[in-house]
Amino acid sequence: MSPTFYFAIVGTNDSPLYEAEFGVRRDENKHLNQFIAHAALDLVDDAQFMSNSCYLKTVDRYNEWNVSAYVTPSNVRLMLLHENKAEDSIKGFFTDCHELYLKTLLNPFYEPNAPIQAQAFDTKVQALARKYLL
Amino acid sequence: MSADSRTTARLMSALSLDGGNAVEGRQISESALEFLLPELVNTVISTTVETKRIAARLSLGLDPEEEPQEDTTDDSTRSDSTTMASGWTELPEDSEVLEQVYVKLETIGFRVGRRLAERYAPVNRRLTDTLDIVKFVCKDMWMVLFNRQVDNLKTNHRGIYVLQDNKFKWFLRMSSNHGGAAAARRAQPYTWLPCGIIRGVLDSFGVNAVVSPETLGLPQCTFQIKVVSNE
Amino acid sequence: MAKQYRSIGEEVWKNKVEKVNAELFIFTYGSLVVQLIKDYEDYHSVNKQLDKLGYNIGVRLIDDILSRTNLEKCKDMRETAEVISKIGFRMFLNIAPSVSAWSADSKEFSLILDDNPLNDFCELPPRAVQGGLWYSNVLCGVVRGALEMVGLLVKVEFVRDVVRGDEVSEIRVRLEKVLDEEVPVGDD
Repeated sequence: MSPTFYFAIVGTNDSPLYEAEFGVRRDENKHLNQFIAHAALDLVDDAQFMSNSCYLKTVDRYNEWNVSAYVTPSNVRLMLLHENKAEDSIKGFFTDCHELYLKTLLNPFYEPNAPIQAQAFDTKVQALARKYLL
Repeated sequence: MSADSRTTARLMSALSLDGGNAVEGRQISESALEFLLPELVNTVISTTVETKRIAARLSLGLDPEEEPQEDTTDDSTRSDSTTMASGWTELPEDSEVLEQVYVKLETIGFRVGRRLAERYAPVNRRLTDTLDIVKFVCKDMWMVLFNRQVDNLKTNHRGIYVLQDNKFKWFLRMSSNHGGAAAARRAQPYTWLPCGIIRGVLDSFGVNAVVSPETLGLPQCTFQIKVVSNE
Repeated sequence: MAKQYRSIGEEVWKNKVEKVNAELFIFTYGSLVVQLIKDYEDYHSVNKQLDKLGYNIGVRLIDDILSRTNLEKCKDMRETAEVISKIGFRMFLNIAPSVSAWSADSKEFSLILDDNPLNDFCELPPRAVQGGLWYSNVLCGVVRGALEMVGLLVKVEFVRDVVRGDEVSEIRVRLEKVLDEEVPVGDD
């Protein structure tokens, strides 16, 4: 069975800006995924005090899930739920997603902390998931 | 090439990023910015006056477009701004309009600050302490904005920080032509934009603050940051 | 001719211009456009304001160009077009749009902007494209204002822009009238 991933970008006000699932979709789990990612936010806060790096590796575990996090300098959190450990590829995925987010933010028409609805953004994130994760 | 892939290619070339690290980007002439700023201020003033007039006429049930008298006032504002050699505009007397001009310029600055912060924030050194964040404004941000650092930073260690720039760049061209209180008044809007930028940068790092300017004599300028407790 | 202006433009950019990071300029302009859209809720009014802003820049900026270059008066529109591109755009934005698509009467040409700093981070929302926004319309106003100061009344407008999904960005410039006292065409 191919692995499943849940990815979310969480704004500075703790609201989700973007969500996606990669691999085998298990839609019935979506709310659980959101819950797990949200619950891990506090642990991200703790972990970032211990680290000077954006990539915080695995910050939480829940059943079969690992929760990895990446925090941008202005405290936008990238959260990934994954089953297998693969730190290097997850780091690569986060770094490229950060760059995509930065491009979105620098667009004068984007309001910070607003949901990212552009189809192009989703397409690019899906492509990064195929490149690094699947 | 599809429109989307063109956009991507364009953005990729604009944004030479290395894992979030901003590298030396595109350069333009400093005078491009020096020409833009006064006209930006003029535009915000004149559009605020105009939209207020349109709103007033709409509320009276009148056609906002048909008012020949206003057109002449609009033209005179415009020729004012173009005939003055330095390009500085007189501020509107209407305090309500002036307040709106302040809010708009501050908002424009805030949006700029949010972007600059994420663009230039260090990725290998996390800024969590407010003093560190303020220092980032004084050093790194001021370099991006004005090619210099602030001259002096004072704090009472209770949430108030005062940044002092003795040669505030956006005042330099101004102070030679005009002096005294009139110049200080005319200079005001040029501090509202950086106030917004500072607030935007601080906000990016989760620091909620009020930023206010003070000018004792051009070209000196201070910015007071008052941290607002989130609790 | 084009080559001579190219080297003047490059010389000015290299030695006579204080250079700064472009992003403050780019972000500030973008935030202004967004603010104007909020104010007017109508993209044509925004285009008009951006053009007007540019015009006010153009009428002042021409002195800056002339004082840094010792340029002679241009003898025709073809020279004028080269100066706009190779010196004007180069001096301020460090770009040199190509000049093309001349009309038969040599009064009308296009500036093709392969690289426009204002567009760097811009992705127009679909409603702005549909509403007819010309994001960089300030540039049209600048050209119009600057040429008016040397006695050339021109009509300047964007006809295509990559941020609207077009293949290239193109500004069309048309000479409408030459003001008598300046006589830049057929000078002597």
